[in-house]
Amino acid sequence: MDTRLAIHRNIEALDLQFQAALDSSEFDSAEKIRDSISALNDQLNELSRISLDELEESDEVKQTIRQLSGSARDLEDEAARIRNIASALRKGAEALQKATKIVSSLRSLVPIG
Amino acid sequence: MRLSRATTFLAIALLASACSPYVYQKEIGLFNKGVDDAIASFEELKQKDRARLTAARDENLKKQALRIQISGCRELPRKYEDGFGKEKKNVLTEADYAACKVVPVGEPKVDPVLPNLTAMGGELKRYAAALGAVTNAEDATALQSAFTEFNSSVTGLVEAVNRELAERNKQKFDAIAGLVYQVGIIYLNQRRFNALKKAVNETHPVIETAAGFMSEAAFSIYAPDIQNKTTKLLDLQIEAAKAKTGGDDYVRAWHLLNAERDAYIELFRRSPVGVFRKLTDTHEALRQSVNDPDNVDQIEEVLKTAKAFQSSAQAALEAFKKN
Repeated sequence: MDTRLAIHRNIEALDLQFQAALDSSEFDSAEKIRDSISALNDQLNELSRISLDELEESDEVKQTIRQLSGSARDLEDEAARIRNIASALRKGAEALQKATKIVSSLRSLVPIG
Repeated sequence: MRLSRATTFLAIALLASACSPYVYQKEIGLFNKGVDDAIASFEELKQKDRARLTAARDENLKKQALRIQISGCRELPRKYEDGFGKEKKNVLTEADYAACKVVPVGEPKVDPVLPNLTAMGGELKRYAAALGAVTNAEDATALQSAFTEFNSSVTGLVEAVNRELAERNKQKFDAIAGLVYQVGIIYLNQRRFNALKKAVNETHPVIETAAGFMSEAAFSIYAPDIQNKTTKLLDLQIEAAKAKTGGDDYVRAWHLLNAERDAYIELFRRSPVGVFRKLTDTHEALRQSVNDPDNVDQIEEVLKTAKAFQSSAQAALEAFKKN
């Protein structure tokens, strides 16, 4: 960032010279200064590319992906658990209804002691 | 009877301390949408990066003097058939495909663009969606209806058994199912709230780091747009300074420079780099709220932050779609 800011300061200083050249209609000089500013902008672009590539390949990014993935998986498991409990309860309810029918039908089959 | 009292006590104890994760459904829904839009903006930025890489590669190719040819592809058909003959499957690997290439290969490589940062964006989306799943009120409704069904089935069974026990002059069971239902719902809500609280607290530093990386990447990809526009402004200033005063050329130059100035300002305005900071802020507001769930002001703060984040992420995405 320090390098980038230093380049920006140079561009600002050159821009002052650029305006002065235009004020005095020194167009050749203005075009040369514009080229110098463009070259500095190219340097900024190059620095952006380097930063992006370093970030993309960094271990920190890979580690963050793993950590995020772990957190998401834990939450997904918890969300699935509720759905599983609901489904287990429905199955349990079905089993209980069958058991109730069996108990009720026992009355007609087994003599009460 | 003893069981019934213990269950009542447990139910009261849980009721006194229970927190619901479903309170946050709306806020997390907005957070989720904001993350989706922020990542979609990043995807749009990547398209710019791809275009830039393609242009750089093509410029480099213009400087190449090598004969263009294909290499490493000759063996593929034989290897494919030989493998199929032996194993009845496709034995070719990614390495085989990668070895088959056009020479010169063309640098820099264009695809895939930033696969790690893309994966990180995907994981951020997955995490936000999982937060949404934990606070999904539809799940709570399904659970309550399943409990109701279970509850009436237990009641039916207890009644049927009790009828038999009464006939035999034996002690009947207490109908405790209603309390089991209450305790079950409260326990599961509390458990889910705890899962939400644990995830939000433990993941916050990771969210902060990931959002910081995405923001850095967005800054780096976006910077050349600003630099290129700066150069364009210089060109137009030279043209404008050359235009003679008092004529149409002067007015035309004035309009051109104004339009370029507006586009320049717009470029800063629609910079997506701040969106990721808002993502972190929203997550932090949520974190504070789950740690102090009775604080109604904090829940409102989460909603306010989530709305701001969602709308700025949407605005960033729409700005990209327009251009």
